[in-house]
Amino acid sequence: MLWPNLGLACFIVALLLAVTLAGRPRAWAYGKVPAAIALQLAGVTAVTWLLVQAIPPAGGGAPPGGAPILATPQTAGGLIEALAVPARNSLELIALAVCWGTALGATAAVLLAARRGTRLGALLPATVLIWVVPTFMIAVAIQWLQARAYDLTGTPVGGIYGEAGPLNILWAAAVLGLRPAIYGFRQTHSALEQEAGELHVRAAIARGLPWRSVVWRSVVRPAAATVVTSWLVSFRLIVGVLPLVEFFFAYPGLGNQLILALGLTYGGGRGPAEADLAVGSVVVLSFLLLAVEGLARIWRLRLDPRLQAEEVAA
Amino acid sequence: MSARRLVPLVAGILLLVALGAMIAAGWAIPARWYQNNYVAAEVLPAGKVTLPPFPPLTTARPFDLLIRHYGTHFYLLGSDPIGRDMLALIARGAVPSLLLVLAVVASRAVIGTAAGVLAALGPPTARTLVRAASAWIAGFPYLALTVVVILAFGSVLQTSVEGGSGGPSAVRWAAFIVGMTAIGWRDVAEVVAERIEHVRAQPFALGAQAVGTSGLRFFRLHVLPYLRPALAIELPFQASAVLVLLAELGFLQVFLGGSFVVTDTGRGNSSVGIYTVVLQPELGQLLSDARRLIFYNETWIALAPAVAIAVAALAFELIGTGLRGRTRWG
Repeated sequence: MLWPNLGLACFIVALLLAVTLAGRPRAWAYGKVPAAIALQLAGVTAVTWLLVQAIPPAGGGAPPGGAPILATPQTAGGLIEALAVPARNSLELIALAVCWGTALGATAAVLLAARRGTRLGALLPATVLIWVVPTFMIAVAIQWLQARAYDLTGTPVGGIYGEAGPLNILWAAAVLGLRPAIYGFRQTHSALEQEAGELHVRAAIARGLPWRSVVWRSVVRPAAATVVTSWLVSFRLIVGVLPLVEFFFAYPGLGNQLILALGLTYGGGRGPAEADLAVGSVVVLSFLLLAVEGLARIWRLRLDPRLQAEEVAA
Repeated sequence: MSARRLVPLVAGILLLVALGAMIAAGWAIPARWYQNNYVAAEVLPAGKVTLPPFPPLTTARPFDLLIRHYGTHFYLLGSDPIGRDMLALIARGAVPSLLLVLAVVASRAVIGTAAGVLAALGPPTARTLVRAASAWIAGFPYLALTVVVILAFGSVLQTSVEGGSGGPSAVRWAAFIVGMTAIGWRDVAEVVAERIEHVRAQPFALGAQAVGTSGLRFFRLHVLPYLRPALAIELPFQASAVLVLLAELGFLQVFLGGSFVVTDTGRGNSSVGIYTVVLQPELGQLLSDARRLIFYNETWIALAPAVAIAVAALAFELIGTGLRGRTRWG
C-alpha cells in the first residue's frame, strides 16, 4: 500500500497548503503552485497505481533473454535504491538535453533578433523542416549512423550497450534535445518578433538607442515570460518522449526502466511486470515534470509583474 | 487569399494522394508475396542465391522450404526477414493504422469538444473540474501514460502480446483508442474553450444574449459556426500527432496486431530473440524491431514504414497549417 499512502499524503499536503494560505492573496499567488503540484501528484500516483494493478504481473514467465531483466525490490529501501540510480541517469540526460536545446534554440532566436538582415534568417525555414521530423526518425537516423561507424571503424561510437557512459548520454541527449531546440527557437523568435513591434520598442528606436541595446532592454526582457512558457513546453516534450529515447538507446534511465518494468522487452516478447518499479518510474517522472512546471510558473511571476498582479487579483 | 497560403494545403493533399497511390500499389501485389515465408531467393540478374531480407530494388525468384518457386518478383522497398514484400506489408498495415488514427481523432474530437464546451459554458463546478482534469493529465509524461493505459486496458489479451496469436481484436482496439484519447482530448478541449470564450466576448454575441438568445439556440447560431473551422484546423494536427504516437508505441513494442519472435536456443536452454515476425501488419508494429534491424544493417525494413508514417504525419501537419492560413485568426 505504499503508493496509495503516498498519494494520500500528497493530497493532505495540498489541502494543508490551501487551508493555510488561502486567506492571504499574495502568499497564495505563490503557495498555490506547490499545492497544485501536490494535488496533481496525488492524482498521478493513485491513477498509475490503479492502472498498473490491472496489468498481470508475469503471464509468460521469462522474456526471450531467459532471465528476468529487472530484480524485484523486496523493501521500500530497495525500491528507492532501484529508482535512485535510473532517476539520476535520467536527470543527467534531461539536464544535458535541456541545456543544449535551450542554449541553441534561445540563443539562435536572440541572435536573429539582434542581427536583423543577416544570413541567420535562413534558419527559420530550415527549422520547419526539422520540426516535422518525428523524434523516432531522428533516433533511427542517429542509430544508423552509429551502426555504420561501427562497421567502418570497429569502434562502438554509441558507447557501451546499456550503460550511462559519456557517449551514451551524448547521443541520447542529441536526439532528445533537437526538437525542443527547434521549438524553443521558433517560439522565442515569434515572441521577440511580436515584442519588437510594440510601441515602447519604436519609442526606444526613435530616441536613437542602438538596435542591440533595444533588443536586450526592450525586447528580450518583456518577452522573457513568454520564452519561459515555451521552454516549459520544450521540457514537457523532453520528459514525454524520454521513455522512447532511453529504450531506443538502451540508456538505463527511468523511461527505459518503466518500459522494462511493464514487461516490454527488446525482443518483442513479454516479460514479468514489476508493478512497484513501474509506478515509481511514472511518479518520479511526473514529479520532475510538475516540479519544473511549478518553478517555471513562479519564475514567470517574478519576470512579469503584470502576471503577478493578475494572480493576486484572482 | 494569396496563392502562397495555399501551398501547404496543396502540398499536404498531394502527399496524401501519393501515399494513397503507394497503398494502392501495395494492395495490388498478389498474396503470395506478403503471406508466404521464403527461405532464400535467386537474386537476378546474376542468379546468386541470397537469404532474406532482400534489399530495396531487388528482383528475385524466392523459394520456400520445399524449394518451390513462385515466380519472379520486384521488391521495390525490399523484404522483411522471411522474404515478404515490404511495400505490400506497409500497404496492408496502413489500413488498420489509419482506421485507428481515424477512431482516435474522432474520439478526441468528441470528448475534447464536450469538455471544451463544458469548460466554457458549463456551471462553475463543471468548469473547474474540466480545467483541473486537463491540468492533471498534463502532469503525466504522455508516452508513459499511454503505454500504461493501453497495457492496463488490454491486459486480457496478454497472450497475444507474448506472441503466437492472431490479429487485432476489439478489446485491443478499445485499449488503444482509450489510451491515445486519454492524452489528447485536452488539446481539443483547450481549442474549443478558447474559441467559445472568444465568441462570447464579441459584440454580436453579447447583443444576441441581450435579446434573449441562450442555451442550445445560442450555441447553434453563434458558437457552432466559429467552432467548425477551429476544429477543422485542429483535427489534421491531431491526426499527425496520433500517427507519430502510434509509431512511438510501435518502437516500445506496444502495437495492435499479433506477432511472434523467432528465437535461437543457446546454451543452458536460454533463448535469444532474432526477429519479430509480424502476422497482421500494422505500421507501428512494423517498426517494433527497428533497433535490431539497424544493428544488422537491415535498416530499410524499419525505415520504410517509419518514412511512410513520417510522410503521412507531415501531410496532415501541412493540411492543418494550410487550413489555419485560410482563417482570419490563423
